[in-house]
Amino acid sequence: MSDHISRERMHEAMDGALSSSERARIESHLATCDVCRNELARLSEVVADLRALPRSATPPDDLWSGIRARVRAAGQEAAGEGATVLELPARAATDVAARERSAVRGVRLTVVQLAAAAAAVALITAGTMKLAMDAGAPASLEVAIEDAAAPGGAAARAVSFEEGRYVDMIDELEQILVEGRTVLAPETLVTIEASLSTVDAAIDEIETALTQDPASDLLLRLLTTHRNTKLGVLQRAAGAIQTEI
Amino acid sequence: MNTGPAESMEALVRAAQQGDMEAFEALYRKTSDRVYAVCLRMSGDTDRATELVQDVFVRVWQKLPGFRGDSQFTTWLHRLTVNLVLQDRRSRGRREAREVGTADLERYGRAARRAMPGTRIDLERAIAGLPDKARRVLVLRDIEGYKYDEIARMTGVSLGTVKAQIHRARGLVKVALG
Repeated sequence: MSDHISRERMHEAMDGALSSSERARIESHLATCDVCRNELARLSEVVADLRALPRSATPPDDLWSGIRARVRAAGQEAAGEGATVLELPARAATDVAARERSAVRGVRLTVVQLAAAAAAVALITAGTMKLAMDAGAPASLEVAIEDAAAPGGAAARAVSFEEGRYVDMIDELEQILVEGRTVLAPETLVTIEASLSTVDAAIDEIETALTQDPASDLLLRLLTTHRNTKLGVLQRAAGAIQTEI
Repeated sequence: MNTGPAESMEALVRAAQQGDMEAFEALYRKTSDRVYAVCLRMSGDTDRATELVQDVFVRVWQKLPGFRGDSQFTTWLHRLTVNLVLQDRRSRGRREAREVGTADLERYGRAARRAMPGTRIDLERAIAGLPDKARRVLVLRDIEGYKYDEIARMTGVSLGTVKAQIHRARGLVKVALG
């Protein structure tokens, strides 16, 4: 072998991912090339050092009290409402009293209601959006719901097709929430985060189930519905932040 | 992670599932060091790592009633932790908003030394100084021991991209160590 060993080949060698013939060729080259031998030795040393690092770290002492407080707050909220509720102020509030009043008058939507609303919008607009997609316009999440009803591969393709756009939208809205969270009343923020946590947990469970049954139309439809729900929660949160600002 | 008898862990999980806060605290005491190590290294940010640990255990409390024991609790917890850190946008936003400088890495190194007295601080700083995506996949592969295809599924990027990111990250760590 006259050329040096490529970086990719070196990493594959360290990962034990080479065939026996490839390994033999590399060993033959290493026997005569100091440059590659030294490079591989140094990289192997780095990887061995990484793998030898401790896998536990003592957290700061005071973390548990914060966890306990948040868990109790969430429990009290669940006991008081009987369901996860997204509660957003109906109009701008610039002081605590106004925030409290607006929370009372605020729009109250359960996650279930949000999901139902998202699904209803999808049913109403699916035909229109399908036509739009056929005409070359950007596809929508609603199209994914409609196509997800199709058998097997069509559903998988629909969800996959929407993945990039969905992630971009979620990223953007989450960034708005991160940057604007301080303008929201604390109780509103807690409710938003609890709602997002609930829907994220459901998405996690569906995605885990999909690893076992990736062609399941039902799971794909549930995934799309819950992603729409998350999108709706974030859109309403972003709207509330913009109102406050 | 502190280890105790498997029966003890299972009993604590069952009690916590019934709402026993003392049992949940005991679970936290047994497992938080493992969770913190993952959050610390994957975020590369000591402040965000402590927030993430709290987020993880709040999420665990919320999801515990649905834990059926199909896998070990520690395996379930580890996967939940990794997923939550991968979904986290806040630490990425913070890091993107400013360049991670020498002072940040020195501070990170001091925190890492306190949390992991036996660790290699030069290596920890080199990991923390990596770009976000490169750091996350490197930690998953070379420290946490996930396979390439598992990392591709968890991060939602192609296998080829994951390999390229890990190879690049290893090279950057090598350069940082000199």
